[in-house]
Amino acid sequence: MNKPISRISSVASFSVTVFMFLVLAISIITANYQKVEDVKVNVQGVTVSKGGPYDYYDKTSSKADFARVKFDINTDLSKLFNWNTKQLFIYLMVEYDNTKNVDNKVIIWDRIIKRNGRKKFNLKKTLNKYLFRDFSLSLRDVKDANLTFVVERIPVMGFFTSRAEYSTKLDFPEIKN
Amino acid sequence: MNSFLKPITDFGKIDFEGQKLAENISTSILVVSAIISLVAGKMLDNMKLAMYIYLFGFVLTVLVVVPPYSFYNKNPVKWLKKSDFKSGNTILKEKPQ
Repeated sequence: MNKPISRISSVASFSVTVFMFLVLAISIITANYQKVEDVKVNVQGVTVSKGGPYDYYDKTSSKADFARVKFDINTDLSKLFNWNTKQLFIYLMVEYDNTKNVDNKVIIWDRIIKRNGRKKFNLKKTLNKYLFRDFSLSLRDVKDANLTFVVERIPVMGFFTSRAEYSTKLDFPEIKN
Repeated sequence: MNSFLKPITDFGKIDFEGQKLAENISTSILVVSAIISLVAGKMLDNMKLAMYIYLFGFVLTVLVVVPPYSFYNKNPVKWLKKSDFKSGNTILKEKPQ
């Protein structure tokens, strides 16, 4: 602390240390674990068809089974926002078992909810945003399929927390041949 | 050190008591501004305000601590004169300073 340059260095270094503890304290007191009360995901139906769109990187897409899920979402997420929430990442995930693999997870729809954006929405008869197919080409022997609505809270500073808010059973149709 | 460089190398130096005072002042301003920014952010639900309060605390610390104000130089070190050691001090004869 003798010369001005060493005083600047000392103040800068200690200010970064204090800032680290400030960020830690903010991330602890604003931890966002509360549940979403009014969320309703209603599955209208699942249809499975053989052969998807042409994909240069996927030569099997003409032989694989693709599922289309039609669903409604009605929710209000405005209570999840506090002063340390930047945005929310919400997604619908299908978890199922089949004979080839267990615990398959496929994300079929997602949306980013910004801090200044709309937080309450009512989607009707929405189709899955991303292709839903299995690794093994066939969706014939799907067991215990569940559709889960997950909300991931993204803070300005601190830890990401994601939590399954709603889960419903998904009935796959019988596939002949 | 060359005498013509002395004004440059000695610029802004403060004495030992002043250094201790500057250390205490910088520590306390930074910690207090961090606590104020945490409380203000929590009360007013405003992250930007909290960050600006902490930034203001940092700038205030730099303005208070870095320039060599006169209250940092109130206890200068009193060196003994060379003439005091002319006879009988062996340490000085071996290592003149």
